Amino acid sequence: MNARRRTARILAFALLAALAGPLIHGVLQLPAPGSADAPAHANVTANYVERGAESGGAENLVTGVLLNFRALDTFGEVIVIFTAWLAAAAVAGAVSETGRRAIPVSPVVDYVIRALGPFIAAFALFVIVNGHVLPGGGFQGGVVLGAMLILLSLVLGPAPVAGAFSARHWAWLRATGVLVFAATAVIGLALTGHLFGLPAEPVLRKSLMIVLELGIGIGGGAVLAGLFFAVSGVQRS
Amino acid sequence: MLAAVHALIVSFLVIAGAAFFFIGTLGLLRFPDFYTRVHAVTKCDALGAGLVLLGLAIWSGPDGEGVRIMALIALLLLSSPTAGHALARAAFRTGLQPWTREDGDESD
Amino acid sequence: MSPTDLLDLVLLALLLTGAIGIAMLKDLAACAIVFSAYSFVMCLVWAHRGAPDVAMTEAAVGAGITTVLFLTVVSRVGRREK
Repeated sequence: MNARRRTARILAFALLAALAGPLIHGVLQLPAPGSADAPAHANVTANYVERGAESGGAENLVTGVLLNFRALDTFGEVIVIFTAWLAAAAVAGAVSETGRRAIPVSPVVDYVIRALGPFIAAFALFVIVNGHVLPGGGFQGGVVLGAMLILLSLVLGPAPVAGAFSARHWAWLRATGVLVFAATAVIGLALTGHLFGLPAEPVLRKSLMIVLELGIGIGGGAVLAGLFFAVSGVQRS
Repeated sequence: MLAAVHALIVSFLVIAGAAFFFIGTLGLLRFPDFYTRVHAVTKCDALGAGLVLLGLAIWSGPDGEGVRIMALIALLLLSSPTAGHALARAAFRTGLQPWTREDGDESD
Repeated sequence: MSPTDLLDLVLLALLLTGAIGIAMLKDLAACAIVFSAYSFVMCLVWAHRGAPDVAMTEAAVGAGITTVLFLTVVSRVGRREK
């Protein structure tokens, strides 16, 4: 047993060393941080910064890049988040309930969380809706929303929060990000001729972006809350 | 003259806040058990961060970030003591015994 | 060295300490807590480097949600590394 363990250790070390070699080599090949002639700075970034504000459709360049120039990547991320919940729910369904004794909630904590909850939700909504002008957006607001739902579940117990919607409605909420994004992609195709294209007309473009951000935010928040429900064993799929 | 008084008040508040942080950290390192450490950290954290933020709010003035920083102070004064209370309560409910003077000889 | 560089250095040193700490610790609950602190320092690095969008996500997900998820899982599987 001991000898086998030692062999395993030596093997693991050799494997890691073999992996470290190419990685270090790759890092050494990278251009110096912030150097002006790095490929990313020479072409792409300059282009984004120059054209981002008008053709990205958002004063916050990050949002413009996420929702317009790199819309396909962002769509992939939204799918990844949704898939993460599917996987967690599938694995967590197999874990048996441990039945640990929960500590009764302190009235102080209960009161403070009930008072703070609406403010956190309002902040999340603010971050989502203002994503095109201020730092933030669908993902950022979505994680704040998810954090609020998890905070509420921690204090009030996961059951009442998970019970706010039926399992079926939760599943639809979690899919919102993917569905809304796919829908806007098709709408973009119809309006501009490109998949994920955003119309040039400012009001239409802005409303489409806000709908998109709201979809990503609600979907992301519901997925994160769903991860917690799955892990804490209140909701099986 | 007014600018100097303004700067003086701000520096006093920020330095006082930093002093509270220092005392709180000292307490965290030197106190004998969980409860006394939570006690030190929670109080000094809320007061230290509150004073530093108050200094910064005065520094940026009401038309700058000042109002937003005041909201931050309100949030901090609400959340920090609650977190400390929740920590201490969870420890007590799970049966962690507070330190008493009798076992002080061996634990110090 | 400018004060901002110094702040960067301090933050990176904290990150390194946190990362080594997580690798060395045997108590999984303690790992989750240190990881939360690590994420918070990472959030400061993002904010300081001019990426508030990423900083917000890091604060909410890294320091908040993943910590809760880790602790919940640890409370169900046991806190000692085997």
